[in-house]
Amino acid sequence: MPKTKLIITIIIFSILLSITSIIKTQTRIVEKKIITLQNKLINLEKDLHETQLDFDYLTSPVNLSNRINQIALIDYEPLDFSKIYLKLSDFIETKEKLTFKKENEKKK
Amino acid sequence: MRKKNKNIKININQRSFIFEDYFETSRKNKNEKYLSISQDRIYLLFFLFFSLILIFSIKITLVSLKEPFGIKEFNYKDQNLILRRDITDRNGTLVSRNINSFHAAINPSLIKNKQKFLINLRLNFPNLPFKKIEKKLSQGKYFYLIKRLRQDEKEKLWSLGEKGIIFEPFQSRVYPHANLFSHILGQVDYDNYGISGVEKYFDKELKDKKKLNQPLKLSLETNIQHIIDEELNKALITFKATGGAALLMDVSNGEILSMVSLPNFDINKRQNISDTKYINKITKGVYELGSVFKTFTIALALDKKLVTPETIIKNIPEQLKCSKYKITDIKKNPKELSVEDILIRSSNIGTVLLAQKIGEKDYKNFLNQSNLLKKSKLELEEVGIPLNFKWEKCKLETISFGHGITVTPLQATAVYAALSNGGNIVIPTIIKKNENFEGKNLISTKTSKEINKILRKVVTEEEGTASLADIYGYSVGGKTGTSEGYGRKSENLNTFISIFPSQNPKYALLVMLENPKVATNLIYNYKGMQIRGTRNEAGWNSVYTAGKIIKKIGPILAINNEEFLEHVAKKSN
Repeated sequence: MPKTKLIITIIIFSILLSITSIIKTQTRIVEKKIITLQNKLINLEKDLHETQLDFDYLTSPVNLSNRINQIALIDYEPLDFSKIYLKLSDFIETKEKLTFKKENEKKK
Repeated sequence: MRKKNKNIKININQRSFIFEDYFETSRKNKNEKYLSISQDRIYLLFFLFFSLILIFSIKITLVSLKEPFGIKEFNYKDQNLILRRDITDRNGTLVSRNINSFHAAINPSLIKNKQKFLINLRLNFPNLPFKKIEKKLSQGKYFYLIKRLRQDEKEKLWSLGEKGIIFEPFQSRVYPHANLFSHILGQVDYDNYGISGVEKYFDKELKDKKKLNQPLKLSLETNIQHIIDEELNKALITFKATGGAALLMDVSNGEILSMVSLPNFDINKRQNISDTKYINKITKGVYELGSVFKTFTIALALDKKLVTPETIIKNIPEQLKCSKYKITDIKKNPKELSVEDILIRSSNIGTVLLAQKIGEKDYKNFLNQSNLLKKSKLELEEVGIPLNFKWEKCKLETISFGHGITVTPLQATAVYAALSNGGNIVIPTIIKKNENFEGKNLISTKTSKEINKILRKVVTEEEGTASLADIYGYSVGGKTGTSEGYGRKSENLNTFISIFPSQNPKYALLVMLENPKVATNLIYNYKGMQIRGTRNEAGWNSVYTAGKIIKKIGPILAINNEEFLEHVAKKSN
């Protein structure tokens, strides 16, 4: 009996020892992974920080205006809402009205 | 043994007896004892291993929670660098941010071959002062080679692969919009302390470590600021003006959406500016704004129920003499004018007559209530104080049409905002606030509505002075002011303060031009006619510029444009 118990104890001890060893190794691996990911995260945050600044600089209205001027010398003017036609028929109708008005004015 | 025998209980009813095997019992007891010890040991073993596992679990939890040794710790904590929060506009667009920059320093003791190092340095940076560097290298003391390195310079130095080059990190403030917000943002010094503008006013808040991730949100709008800046720059060229300024304010809460003062400067470049033309003309400059004050006089007369907009003022003289001053109108006006006509035609004499009806006491109260005589409570260091004056003879009369009193354009615009928003006094601010502001009443809602109608007529009526700002769909109202420089008669200042849309004003826009000239080459679209510029009053330059600005910013401000409703919304339905 004592021998059997001793054997059981040794087996349990060995199992626990190996489990602990595995856990320790895994802990170390997970720890390394966490540190690597955290470093990656910091780098990404840094990149985002700089990229956001670059984006805001490159898309600043002053910069965009300069770029447009480099591409073409067009002075963009706001378009009157009255000159926006959603359908071709609307456009034709307005033009007909204008022509009619002008003709009437001429007759007068 | 005796003790054991005592414990044996004798059953008297028992018919037979047995002989207890003492040896066997003793063996059993021993076994039980060993078993108990073994169990205890196993428990202890389990406890030990459990503790070990617990230790690992705690460790991994701590590792995942702890911030690792990395860039952040290196730059921010170990170096004890002063960090500053970002500053953004009302839409979250960055206007100011801290970035990591480097100084290049030299530790001569780490350089093995100094001659080779100098040759390499000369090849890559031919403009450096090599005699000084050579001397410092021979002295063996730590020194700075290049301060505030650019990225390309840093890469060149890296490529030298020299141990003795030390890259010292520091925090640098960057303004991606350069000139655009120069008068508002201000600057920081080399140690990251605010020295002007918002950077100085909010220095403590911007350095608050608890709020580092929360940007300071301004009420400004970058796109609108750019449009106004662009149009104002064009106006400076067209009218050959020496300076200009513009301000756009939300009339309901005093939030400033745009503040431009020209000339401006690039805040990314460190330079000493002593010329007064670079001051923030909106907040720091104090001016005699002229006829824009007439609106205040008319509003007060209406609010005191002394007159109505239709009341006819009879027998208006061509000239008024007050003490040593002669008060006249720029152009000849009829002898009888209604109160609204006085403002539409910008009659000095008519306004003086109304001011006399109001009286000095009530006018003084109005000026005090409207905060025109004291320093504005704006979140900037650069805020001007109106010049002191005495209420001597004729002061009321001259003040009534904007002479003999100096205010900042910011103060005048804030009063226009109050007059047009239903009469509530607003406190100008450059910080985005979510709550609605409810100020004291300066005038009644009824008077406010009447004033809005009259201001609209200044733009639409034939005799009005601001026809060029009549932008279809935006229902612009406003008042012009043409004045001489305070104490500098050779200089003139043309101002136009507008409100739009006038039926329910949302914004107040001030446009101011310093010393504009007649734009002879400019062809105006004046009431359907194409005419060349021949005059130099505010109506021909500041109003023209304001019209251009409103036409461009109107769609961004999403005002319910009548033209849009008429030509697009109806058709799309």
